[in-house]
Amino acid sequence: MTALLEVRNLKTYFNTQDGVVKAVDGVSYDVNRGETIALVGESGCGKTVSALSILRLVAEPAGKIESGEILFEGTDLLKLSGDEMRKMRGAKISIIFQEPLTSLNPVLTIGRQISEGLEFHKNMSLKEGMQEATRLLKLVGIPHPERRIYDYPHQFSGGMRQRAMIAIAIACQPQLIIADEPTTVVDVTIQAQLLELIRNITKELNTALILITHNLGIVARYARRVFVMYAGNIIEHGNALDVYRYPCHPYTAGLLTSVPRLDEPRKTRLLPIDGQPPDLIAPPIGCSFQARCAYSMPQCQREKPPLLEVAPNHYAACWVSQKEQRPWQKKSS
Amino acid sequence: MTRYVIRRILWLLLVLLVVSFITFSLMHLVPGGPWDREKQLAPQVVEALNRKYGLDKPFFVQYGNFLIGLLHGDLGISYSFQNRSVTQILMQGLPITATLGITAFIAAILIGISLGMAAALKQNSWIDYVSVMFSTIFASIPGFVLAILLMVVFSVLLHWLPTGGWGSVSQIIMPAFALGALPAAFIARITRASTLEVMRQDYVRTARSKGLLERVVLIRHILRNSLIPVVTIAGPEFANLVTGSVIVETIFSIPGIGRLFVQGIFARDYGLIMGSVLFYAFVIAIANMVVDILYGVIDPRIVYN
Repeated sequence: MTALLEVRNLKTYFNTQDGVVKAVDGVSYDVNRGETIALVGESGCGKTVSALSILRLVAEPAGKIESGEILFEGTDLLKLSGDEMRKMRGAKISIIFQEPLTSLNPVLTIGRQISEGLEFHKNMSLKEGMQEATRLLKLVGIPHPERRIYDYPHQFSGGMRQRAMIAIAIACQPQLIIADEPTTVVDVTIQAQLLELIRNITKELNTALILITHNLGIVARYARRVFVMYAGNIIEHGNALDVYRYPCHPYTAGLLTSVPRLDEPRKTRLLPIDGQPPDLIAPPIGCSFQARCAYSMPQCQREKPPLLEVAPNHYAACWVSQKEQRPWQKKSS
Repeated sequence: MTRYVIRRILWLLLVLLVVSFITFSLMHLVPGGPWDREKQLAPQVVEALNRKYGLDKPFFVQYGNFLIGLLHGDLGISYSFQNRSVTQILMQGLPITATLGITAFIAAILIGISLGMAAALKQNSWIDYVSVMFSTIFASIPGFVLAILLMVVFSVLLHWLPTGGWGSVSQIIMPAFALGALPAAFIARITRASTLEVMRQDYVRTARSKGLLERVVLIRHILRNSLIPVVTIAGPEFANLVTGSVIVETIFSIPGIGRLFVQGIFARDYGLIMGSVLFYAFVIAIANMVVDILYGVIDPRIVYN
């Protein structure tokens, strides 16, 4: 079975006054039908840009997809015309953005914003679209949807707006939904509700999901496979549980010790990863994590480690790990 | 909403009352009177005229009489136009001023918005530069300078358009241009800035992520939001245009209210001055009220209370 989505060696660069920022620099991943994968990494590591690249919504003219392939059901999205790409967006691939507060148009009703995609892709009339919007709002758990469709975004709370965004994303029953840090800006209590909602809906519609997050803690619960990104590259990927229990890249290990965990005694200190991600205009020659890595070896400064299978179905781009020494694993295993 | 409109109308009445009082006082403070001529009239004649028009009475009685007349829709008799009421004279000028003002205003809005949008959508292209250049030039030239420049070029040098008067389409082009250029330039600048701002908003990206046609994204999502600040300045710009009409009508000898106003001032025609000032005040106040109400129509976040 071929994957629903295959991203191959994607490079998305931004032209800035200071030089070319290599936001995504040769990233590959794949998503099967109905599968949920997670794309994990800290701010600025390129996870959002790689997601926007799939929809070809990278802000032009500064941002540009330099090379690579994005195969969706076998067709390369990067080779589609503007019109063909438009027919994909919203209909086959949709996205839930991070900022529910600013991602909805303030002067249009919620119902209209859900219905307009249906009007375009499914040839519905405004009336049919609004009826469908009512049903969708009910589905995402908004009370009194028949009245609420006539509300404007400012009459919705943050959590409700994100539910409305979810309704927009699922409106045309796409095969793939990209959720870009969908819960970052809402309360912790709402976060779990929203993630459960997204999970239940994608399961029900058999929709594939790319969950983008910086919180490795939530990944194991929602995603089957996880891809860890650092400085525009994928540095580790594998089954979520394997990555979670036996991280094979010191960066992943660092991410895990920097978030609170419920399965450890409360006294364990959270350990932040010291230092800053590298400059993406002039990335270091060797391993991009080397400057912040406690285990770095001379080789790490000279050569960029390739992404290799270090355990069954578990890949890591780390010289140390590839020598089968993983000193950072002692703590978590 | 209805209560808001009612309250605004009450405020409008108060504004008109204050304007009428200030104008009335200023008129009487300014030296000279309606009967000053190059050849002086005999004192008995002046006295008789003053008595006839009630100008011999104390100031507040005169003002009171004026207000009573106003409530009856009577602005009094003009001193300079023989035996015609101020209302009659103004009603004659009104359609002319209205035609000129509305033509200039609509043209300013259409040209301003399209120029501003085009500049924003093609930022840093030649369209953008030309649009910014024109709006800077026209925003800095006063209406009366522009009027004279136009006259020199199109009437004196090229003989394309008549220098003034009223009645044909060719006579409306230059005055409307002289009047509308400044508001058009301001509207273009505001539209450009707000469109650039709106284009960067997350909800525009959301609209694109739904696969909508670029045209739909532009009109439904960008234009609607970028027009909010344009509507707010449309009120003051309309007021500018109205006051500008006084000068432009005089320069192009257009028999509208603006020119009547200027004539009234020179002739110390108290009734005509009061009538035209109140007309202007009324138009400006109404324009601002309409803008405030429109503002709430396009931006649902605005709530009236």
